[in-house]
Amino acid sequence: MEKAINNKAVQAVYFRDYPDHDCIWACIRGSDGRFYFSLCSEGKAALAHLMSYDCRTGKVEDLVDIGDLSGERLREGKLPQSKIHLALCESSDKKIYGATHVTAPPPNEDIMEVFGTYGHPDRGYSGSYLFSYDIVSKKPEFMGLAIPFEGVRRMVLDDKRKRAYLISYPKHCLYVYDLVKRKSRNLGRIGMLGAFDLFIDNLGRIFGTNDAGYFYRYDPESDKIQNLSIKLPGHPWRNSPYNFLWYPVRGKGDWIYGTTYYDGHLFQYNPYEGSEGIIEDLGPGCGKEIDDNHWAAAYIQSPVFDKDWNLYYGYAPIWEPVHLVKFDTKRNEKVDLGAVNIDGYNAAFFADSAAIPEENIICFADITMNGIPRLLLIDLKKIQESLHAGK
Amino acid sequence: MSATTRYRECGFPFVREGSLAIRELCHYNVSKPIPPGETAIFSMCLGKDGRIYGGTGGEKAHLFVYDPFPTNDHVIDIGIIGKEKYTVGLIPLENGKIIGAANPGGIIFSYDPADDYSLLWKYECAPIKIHGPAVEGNAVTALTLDKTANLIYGLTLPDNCIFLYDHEKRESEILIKIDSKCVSPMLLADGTGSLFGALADGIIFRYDIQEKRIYNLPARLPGTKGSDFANKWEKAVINKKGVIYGGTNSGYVFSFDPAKNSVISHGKPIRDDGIRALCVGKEGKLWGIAGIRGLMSHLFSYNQNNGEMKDLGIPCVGFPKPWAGYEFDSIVTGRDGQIYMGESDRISHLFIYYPPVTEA
Repeated sequence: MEKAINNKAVQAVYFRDYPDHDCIWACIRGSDGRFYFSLCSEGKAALAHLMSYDCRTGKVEDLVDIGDLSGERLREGKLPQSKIHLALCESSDKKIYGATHVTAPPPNEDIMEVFGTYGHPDRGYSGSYLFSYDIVSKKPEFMGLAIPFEGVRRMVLDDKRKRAYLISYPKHCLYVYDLVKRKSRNLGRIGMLGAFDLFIDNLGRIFGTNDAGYFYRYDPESDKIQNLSIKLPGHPWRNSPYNFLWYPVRGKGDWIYGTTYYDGHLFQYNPYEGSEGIIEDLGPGCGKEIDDNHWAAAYIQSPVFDKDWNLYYGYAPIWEPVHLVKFDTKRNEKVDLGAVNIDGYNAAFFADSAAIPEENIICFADITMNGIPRLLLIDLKKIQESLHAGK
Repeated sequence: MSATTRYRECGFPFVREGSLAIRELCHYNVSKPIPPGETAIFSMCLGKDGRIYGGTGGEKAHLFVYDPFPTNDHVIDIGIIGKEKYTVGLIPLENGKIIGAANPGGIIFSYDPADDYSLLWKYECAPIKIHGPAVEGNAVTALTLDKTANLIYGLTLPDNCIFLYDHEKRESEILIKIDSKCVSPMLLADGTGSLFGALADGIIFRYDIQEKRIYNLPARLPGTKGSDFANKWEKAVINKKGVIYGGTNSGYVFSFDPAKNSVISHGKPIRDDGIRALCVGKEGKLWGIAGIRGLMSHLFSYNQNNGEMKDLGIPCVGFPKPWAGYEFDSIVTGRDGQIYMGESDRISHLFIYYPPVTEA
């Protein structure tokens, strides 16, 4: 029998009042201690919602209906504003910024086709809208079109310069959006459909990789994208054109942790060291390299740190039940905590994560094997107790 | 019909008639490609040596050559034409030399491939020769070769000069300054002593080289009724029978018969404006790229035998990596009928299209 995590350490939050919404893509921890997340749809036409969950009260709040905010409703034949992808960020003035995304089909339609309808006034995707939600006044604000005709897969915020950086879909360009002037500018194409992830360092420099895993760095001072020679680690004999940056997360000190897509390695990267930074390969997600005849390793999903700098993440090959893994970064040890099966539903994919480290709580946005989205709140104290008890 | 089948039959936006390949602008797996930001291909030509020459633009403008010879099949970065420039109008001369222009500044350059060669492990190139501006203070918007006389003509902006360029002496002679508010950025030599272009309001003109005189023709560019005043002639090619094909800024494809002064519109291959590139295939079909910058480029064909205008879709490949091209500004027919398309994005490739062969 497969090892499973201690179910008593996990609380699941479901959204049964939203039957057309089948995924959650973004999840962040707000400065008020709530989790803010996006309830989205991929398989069926629906409009995205920004919601919050308060661990202290167990209360879910529906804060923003993108249709209400933008005035763009579901319409026959038109690609809807169905997602807020990995594009939720909080600024220092306590505003949550979000950018919308596409990839659900129009109402009463199975085909979701962004390329073929690109730019069409009736059928095409209008483009990603930027909005903000003030967590103090509880007021949302519609900021208009961030990128015409394209969705946004990832957004990072430069709080100091009042900018957002966005990766567009489907053309895969890096954009910079001025939050004050409310204008965006295309910095150029980055890749095909792969490397959609970004991170920002303390100097305001933006890092990402191309589809093959080579880093690029955008410097806001010079306004130039520089191609670096540093490449993400991967399987020794593979020269995959698809092994790109995924799920970067800030670690202790100067280190950024992250994973690679098809080869499933963990790495840590210090962007301040030397002229291009230094990268260290932390090996496969749970000890095992990809097999010779496999095309992709098990995915490392949504890594998140606890207060002791242990890294937790989901781990599974595509469409297989997700396991929770703990990576002790001090001892360089990875432990499989077991398969995540809660309420009879196997976890299928952890799309995003957040933490309240001081409360020993981590939160994963889970898409289940049954297409039922949920938040999984994991009590790390109970997980630790289970480990010590040998369960 | 399964969802996958339905999508493939009814929703697939990419080219699936014939086949496509891409080449990075390098010796694949041996050298690094021309860097992103310098790879956008703005002009191409088929050299006398059967190789494809291309000029890029961006932070640096490069001249490159693609050698399709089976044991080569690589791109050589010949060199840098200039910084913060883009190339215009590559032309192959009878003696094998390549002439082009680079803006801003309308700088003429040339390349003589006579002594260059490439093998698996080595290549040798001659230096690119920078001649200087064609017309001081002007950008070059078009270059065209009169194949009969082996003479190069060009068009400039903002002064709207038609000039004759002597590539041996490296001298320009301004033939005429066109007195028109809005001259289309296109000039075509028909090889019988005339140059064609378009003026404000889509009026087609003929410049008689011998008479040194412009004639405004009764023929006008096709367009959407009511916005004819904004029509511009963007691209032109001439086939072996002397028929001129053109593409306008509003996305119309047309044929123009100078003898009859008649324009026949063949409509628009896609909904969007813009015809970004045109070439005539070896089988006589017209091939082109439709669309405008910022939207999605589509490859299209026009068969003048049966009048079929066909949107083939967005160029896309799966090998050696998945890649779709969204911006293209040049297209040229290869020696064996391949259609070469130059991607013009921050990261760009040479696309090679092999049209389908029809069953006998």
